[in-house]
Amino acid sequence: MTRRADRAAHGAAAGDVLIFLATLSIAAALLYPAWSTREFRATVEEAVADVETLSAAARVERDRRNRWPTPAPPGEAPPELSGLGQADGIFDRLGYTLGWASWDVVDSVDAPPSTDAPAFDADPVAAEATPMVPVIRRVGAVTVHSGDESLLAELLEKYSGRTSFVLDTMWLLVLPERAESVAPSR
Amino acid sequence: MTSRRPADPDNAVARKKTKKKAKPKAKKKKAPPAPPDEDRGEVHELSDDAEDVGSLIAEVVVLEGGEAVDRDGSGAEPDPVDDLDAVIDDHLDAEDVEELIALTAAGGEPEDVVEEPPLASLDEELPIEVLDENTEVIPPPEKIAAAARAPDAPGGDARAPALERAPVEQDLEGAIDLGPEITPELRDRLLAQALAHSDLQDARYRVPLTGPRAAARWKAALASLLLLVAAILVAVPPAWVRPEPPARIDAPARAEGVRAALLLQGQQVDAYRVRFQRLPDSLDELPDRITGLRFVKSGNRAYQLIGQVPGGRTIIYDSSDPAPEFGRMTAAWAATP
Repeated sequence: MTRRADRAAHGAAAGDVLIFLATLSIAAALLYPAWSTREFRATVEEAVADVETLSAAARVERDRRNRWPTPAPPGEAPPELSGLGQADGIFDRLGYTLGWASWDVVDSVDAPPSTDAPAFDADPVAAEATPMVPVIRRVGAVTVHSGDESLLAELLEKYSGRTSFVLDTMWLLVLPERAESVAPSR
Repeated sequence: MTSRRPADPDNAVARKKTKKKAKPKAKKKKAPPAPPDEDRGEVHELSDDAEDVGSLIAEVVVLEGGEAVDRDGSGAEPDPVDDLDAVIDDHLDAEDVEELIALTAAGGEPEDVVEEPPLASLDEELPIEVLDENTEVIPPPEKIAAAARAPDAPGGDARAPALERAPVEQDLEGAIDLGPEITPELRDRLLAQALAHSDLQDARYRVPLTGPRAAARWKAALASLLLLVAAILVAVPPAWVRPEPPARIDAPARAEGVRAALLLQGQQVDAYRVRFQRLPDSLDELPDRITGLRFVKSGNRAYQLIGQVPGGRTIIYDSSDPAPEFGRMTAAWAATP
């Protein structure tokens, strides 16, 4: 093969490679966004399912023992819900970590009426301003810790009808004592 | 090529003797097969200087018996002429004797010598016909298959049934009977035409469609165009390529989150004060705390919690005079049933 023919053959091979790479680039440009979005949606759906599972289990535990499960560090299951933290558990997933906490909430309730004071001495103004006494309640909280801001934003959007907020890399959902009927938006 | 000598009476006698010898062997078919080295039907060369029939017969007798037979027991060398009658009685029957006599008298009948056609030489160069494009040298495979299936159809090969129906036990020569149509000249001609057709097709396939430079040029142009399209798709993807963007946390949402965190942490401080009738000195005294918040105690009953949004702005929760935004949040989780 002469030098000219050799150069021509190499030029043809390089052209083929270029065409192949260009076609590959177009395919990647078309398919990568859809592929990455699909993967992200799957992660969000998995996180929502884990939050619902933990919420339901904690509420069952509260209904049974009249108290919320014991708080645990992120990624660890409460002792009362140890079944959820076993192998392939929901607390440590790829991309996020689930946590459980409970918080004190001070509520003001009307004080019970006093039996010491006579009824005829009652000041009408004072009688209208009934004393309030503080009552400590406890609410549950499901937390999701993740460095993916999109995941936290998706959770915030899905639970927009309930009390939840994002602080730094944590999303927190408050579980009141009463079960809420608001389901996460799809 | 074989040639036979013209028959003469002497040789006729010799052949007759051989035939005579072969006959009893043919009749003994049930006997076990003879060994390969057995002399069956071999024609012995007789001496050409035999003077008469008697001496010839005597010579035959000697060949057959291995030695002359001393019939009279005198020990003297037997006379061939004297023993003629005895030999005839022992080895020839009456019919053979009559045939022998007739042959001797007539001088023998000449045999027909059939000349075989000369074999064609494959090395012989034959004129090669120049084929045009429409010449069908080798029938297509489907035509051959159709002819094999229906040999009687027009264009079918009459030899196909012979090939297909030939039983296994049949002699190979009978099964592959090329017949008189295929002569060596025709075979060589067909072979030459097939080779010429193959060379023509090979030469056609070797002709490049385009030159290497032109191919490299249009390949480079096509590759450049495809790369440009890929770059446009990556840089400015169209709507049908661009997926739905994931949700983002905007500044108001972040500020709302900081407020919720401040309120929740304030609830922990209030609960501590209800339990212990005093404020904690720091958030570390609380059983549950949220990181990133600062606690400032401004008296025995009042305190401030300070949070900071990513933009640098601070949000303050004052327990003595909370902002209206905090009041709306409290109802969400502190409402009594």
